[in-house]
Amino acid sequence: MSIRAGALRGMFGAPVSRYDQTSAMWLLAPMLGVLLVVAVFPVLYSFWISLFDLRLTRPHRVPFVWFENYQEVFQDELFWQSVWRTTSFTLICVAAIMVIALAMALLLNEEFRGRRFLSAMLLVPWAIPYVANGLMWKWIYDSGYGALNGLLFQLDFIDKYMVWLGDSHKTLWLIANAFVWKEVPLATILVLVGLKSIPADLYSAARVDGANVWRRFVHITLPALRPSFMLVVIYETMMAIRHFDLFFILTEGGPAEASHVLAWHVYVETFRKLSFGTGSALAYIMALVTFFLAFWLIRTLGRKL
Amino acid sequence: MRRIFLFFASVIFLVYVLAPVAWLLSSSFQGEAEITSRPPHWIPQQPTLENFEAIFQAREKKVTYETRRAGDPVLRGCRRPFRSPFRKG
Repeated sequence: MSIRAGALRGMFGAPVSRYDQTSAMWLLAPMLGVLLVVAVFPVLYSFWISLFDLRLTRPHRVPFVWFENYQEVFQDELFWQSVWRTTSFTLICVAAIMVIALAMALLLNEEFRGRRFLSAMLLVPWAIPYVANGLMWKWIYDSGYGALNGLLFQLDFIDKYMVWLGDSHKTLWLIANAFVWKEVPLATILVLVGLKSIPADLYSAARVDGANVWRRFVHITLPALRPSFMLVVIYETMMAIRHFDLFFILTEGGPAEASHVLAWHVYVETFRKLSFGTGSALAYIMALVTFFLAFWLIRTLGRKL
Repeated sequence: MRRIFLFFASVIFLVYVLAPVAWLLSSSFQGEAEITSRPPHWIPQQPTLENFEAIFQAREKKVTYETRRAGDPVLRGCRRPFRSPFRKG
């Protein structure tokens, strides 16, 4: 038996072809209610807070200040420095993730014994929680007992133990390394999916035409991987911009604000200075920046597909 | 040639992915004295399970701010070492 199109009538008497819209809405209502409470309400409420000068150190007087919080945030020099640090951290991370993920995916795309074992081991960094990852790298970078110091000292690369995270020139790079290590598996899998979907005919045709390995890679593999790369770039950019855990565990924004990134700035404003007004304003600015960045990335990269 | 290349690539791959976790695992079987030794012991020389014992035989079932503090050897069960002058009563 088949349902005739136009036989069913929906909410306002409009014809519904496939399903009963009213009962569908009722079935969706509980989830919609949950989402309204846990997702939509906090977002709107934090915007509402960002219009007040709410400081928990002064809880009895909360004046409505319109957009002064935003003005205050933009005049803060530390804000612009943290924007710059977030930008460089994101660039370092995304570039490194792309290169390492591509190399790993190319390796896993080959047929050889032990390939399955390698793919299984690839999931290890992915399975580790962010906080455990942070603690692990903190222990590795430790100035007294860390593995990095021990290893480099035994191999004679350094002649004395170094305080790795205490060097303001290295901090951002070391945190980026921890972040990249954690994020590479997902990127590798995304690139690997792209590699698997390239038809083998293209390679044999190119081989007939006399293209060597390098030319086959540049003219077939890289263009075909564009959608995967786009996905990786967008996802990892957003992850790196809003990343907080490692900065909190490894350095707390230090030394001397060398790793004071935007996400950490929001935390300090809100929960250390207890200034919820400017904190919410900052969080909103960050969300908008991330949103427009993702929008722009999808538009520019997506168009070339 | 191809086999050798793939072998070395796999080794680099495995070292990059597993080295930090291997270090974590090796440390988990070392006692306090061994874990702080210089240079570090890559393979535990006196492997113990005392770290795992400490986790599974923790006295307090529920770890909260207060219970953690009560079990802390430094604070010796002193629940409120600092009393706020603003607090009444």
